[in-house]
Amino acid sequence: MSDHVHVSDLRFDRLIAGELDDTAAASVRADASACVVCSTRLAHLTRESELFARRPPLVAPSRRRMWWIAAPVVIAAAAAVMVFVRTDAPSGERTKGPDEPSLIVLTGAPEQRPHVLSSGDRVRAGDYVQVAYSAKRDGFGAVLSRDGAGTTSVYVPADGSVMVPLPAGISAAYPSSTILDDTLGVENLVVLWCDRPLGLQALVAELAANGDVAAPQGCTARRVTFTKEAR
Amino acid sequence: MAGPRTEPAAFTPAGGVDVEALYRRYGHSVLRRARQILGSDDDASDMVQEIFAGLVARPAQFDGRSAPSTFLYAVTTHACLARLRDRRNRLRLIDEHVRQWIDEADRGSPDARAAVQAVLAQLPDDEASAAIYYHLDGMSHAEVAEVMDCSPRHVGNLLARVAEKFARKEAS
Repeated sequence: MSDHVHVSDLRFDRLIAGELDDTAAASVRADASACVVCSTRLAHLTRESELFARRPPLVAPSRRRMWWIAAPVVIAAAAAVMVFVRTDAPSGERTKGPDEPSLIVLTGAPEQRPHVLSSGDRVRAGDYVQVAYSAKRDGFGAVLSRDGAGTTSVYVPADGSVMVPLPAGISAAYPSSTILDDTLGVENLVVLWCDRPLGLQALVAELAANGDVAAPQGCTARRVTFTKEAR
Repeated sequence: MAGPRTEPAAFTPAGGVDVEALYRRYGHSVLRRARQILGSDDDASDMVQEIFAGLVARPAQFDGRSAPSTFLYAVTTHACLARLRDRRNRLRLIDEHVRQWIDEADRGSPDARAAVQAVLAQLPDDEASAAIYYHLDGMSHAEVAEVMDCSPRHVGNLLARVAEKFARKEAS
């Protein structure tokens, strides 16, 4: 297996980043100028770098997301709480059949046992929010929010642009919990469980525009509107 | 390498890692490579955020012993491979494959790219990394060896193993 004849992206990246000394930089430029593929590539990467530099500064996430730090206690609480969850569908949700998933939202201060979060409840900045579910079949889910300032966020998935897979299970948990930030006021939380993975962009846009998300075909939604107060 | 070496401002005067400087200088490279490997703009943007946010949280990851470029190449490769495998193993419900290399990755031959695409997620980490560096990034064996911190001979062995697996897959 022989090496390539063209200049590698690594050499170009080093050149563009200013890592190379004058001799090495001149060598890369000479190699690039001798090959139309390489010179085109260098021009492309240089342009790409210039465009990236116009991006906003790196911003740390305003909401800390914890990968299931509270897993044992929340799952245990979910198992206990599931027994008492109403089986009739709250207003705005589609009617649940026997095979439809159950969704509950749990909250609590980090040092407290979690409890069910219902519309009208008050929580405090720094409390966590965790969604649990019971479903007889595999599905996909997301947790979206619009806070008191009108800012929309995706709580679950913690990253990515499509719903997370939710294997069938009893008292199972969405894969991450969210520590609420200090934006106070009324917050709308929309929990979605769907039978197929949906992209989040349109759902977030709908939440931003309407303050709510209509459950797409094949989805079950649970909505909770709560008030966040200062800790 | 002769002459003075111009180092990017990757470290602050106090000795800490200047993540914002790294982001400005190398973010485009991380974004491009993540897009090439993952095949998705959204996933690539998430990966950029994840990698640099990780550096903010754990700056000791980058100790300055290697060049920022090679460090970030390795970090990006490992993070993307982890995500590909995560998709494969954990997101078994998603009908999603290792995606087509995009046009700008046109460095290896089309056959090589197709073969990489087909088996990448199944390869051991070192073989998958070598395949990415060689077939996707168009690196020489020496450059791959530098990024992977091993000998060029070992790189050759890794790529030979990958080639064998490609051949076996094609034969089957």
